[in-house]
Amino acid sequence: MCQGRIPNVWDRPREEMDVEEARPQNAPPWMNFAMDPERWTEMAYSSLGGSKAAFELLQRRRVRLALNRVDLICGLSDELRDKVQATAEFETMRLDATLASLISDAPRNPTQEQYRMFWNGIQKWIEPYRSLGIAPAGQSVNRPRTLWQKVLQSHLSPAQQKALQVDEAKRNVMIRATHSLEVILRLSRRLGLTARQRVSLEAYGRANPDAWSSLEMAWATLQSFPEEEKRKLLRPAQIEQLRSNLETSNDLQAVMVLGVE
Amino acid sequence: MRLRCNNSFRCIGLALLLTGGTAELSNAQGIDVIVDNQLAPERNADQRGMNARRWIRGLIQSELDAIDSVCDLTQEQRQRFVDTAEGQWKFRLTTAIRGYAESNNVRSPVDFEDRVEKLLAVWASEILHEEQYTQWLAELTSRQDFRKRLVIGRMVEASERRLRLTSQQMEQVAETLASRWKDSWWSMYRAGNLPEAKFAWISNILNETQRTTGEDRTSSRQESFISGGVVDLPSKSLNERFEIAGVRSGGHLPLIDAKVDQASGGDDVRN
Repeated sequence: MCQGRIPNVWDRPREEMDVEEARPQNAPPWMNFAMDPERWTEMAYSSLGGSKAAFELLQRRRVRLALNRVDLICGLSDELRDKVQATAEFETMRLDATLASLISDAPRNPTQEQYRMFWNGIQKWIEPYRSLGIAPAGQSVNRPRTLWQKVLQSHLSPAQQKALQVDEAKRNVMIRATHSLEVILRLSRRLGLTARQRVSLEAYGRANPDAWSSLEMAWATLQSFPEEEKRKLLRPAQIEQLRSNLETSNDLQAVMVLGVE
Repeated sequence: MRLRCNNSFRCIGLALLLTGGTAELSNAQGIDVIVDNQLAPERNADQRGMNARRWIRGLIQSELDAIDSVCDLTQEQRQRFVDTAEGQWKFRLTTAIRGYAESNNVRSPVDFEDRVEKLLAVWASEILHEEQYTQWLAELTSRQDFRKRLVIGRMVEASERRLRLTSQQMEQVAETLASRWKDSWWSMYRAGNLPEAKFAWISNILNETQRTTGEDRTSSRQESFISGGVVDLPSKSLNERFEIAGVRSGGHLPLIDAKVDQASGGDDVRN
């Protein structure tokens, strides 16, 4: 080895590298995670915006924007605004304390099973903050999931709540109309629809947005239409095409069997 | 048996499947596993080229049906359309096919739909009468309007999530974006990129808090790209002739690459 150079790992004698450390007696299988509290904390905050500071910033921003929308729709008193913002600040601190407390008991060398269980335990706490603003399937965006949202909702008058619901419904109509437009456009590409046919299908999409939320569902919905209705909407060639299964593209083709030799 | 593939994991996986999980593949079952990374791109390009051809034919067929439906073609016009399509489709769209085949990315920048639409418009201008052609142009305009509504709707939706807009503000943003519409937004959207409603365009619609708080970009909905990208297209086998209401392309026109299509299975773009 040359003098004056920092040795690299491959400079070590081969025999030394191949020696395995003896496993301790009664060691759990798969000791392959070396976790420490800092690493757990990093992981928790990485899914909340990147870091603790980023999470605090985002939390304040979300609360401010949410309160602003309520104010724009139905008005909001300064008193309630301050109260909700203070609650959100408290909640941020509480989450930090909860995570610190949880992580202080975190396993240092968890097995895969322990790792998964512990991480799932953390997920339960951070999940409402992580997906804020996104309603789980079938739930309203305005359904309170965090403490500040609950405080806000419980202090709004029935008239204010009604106004918020009306606005949310309008927003949802606009968003779902866009989704059904997308589906109709894809159908149009498949079946060669004309402008008149697209307009007719849009009416169906508006009436039953759930059935027109994806191409597959819309295809099945159209297939299930009574024959008479199909004839009113589509040309015979299109009806014939509709009888077949929906083709979807799959451009991944990697393995070729060249034959038996 | 000899297996040849471009990825060692896939190859070994397939070999294990065929041997019922036997570890000693080549000795026990007489299977030669060849992991050939040099061969893969060329083969892949062939396959992608074949897919591109089928999609283009699928698009042309659906466009021909639409023209027939909108313009009420005569038998003679139908025959001219299918013959023109059969005779010209490939050399008119060679660059699109090659562009897709030779790109490594599944999200290719080639917009087949746009290319086919423009090509059909050229054929329509030659074959249709003036009145029919006007009808077809109106159909194309209506299509473009539809796309415009879709992309603007998506952009408004994204702004709503980032800035917590009210329904009234959403309508105003939609109007503003409509006044700034560019056709290239549709191409961007088809390639999987949603154009952004720039802050400067919509800032006069926002109130002071929305302007100064900043956007909540984390709340964008993480849903799959439901428009399917540029490859969500109908496909038509190279063995089938173009057809409008029972009128098929003439037998004197050869079906280009039909043999190649037959050899490659003809159905590998279908799940």
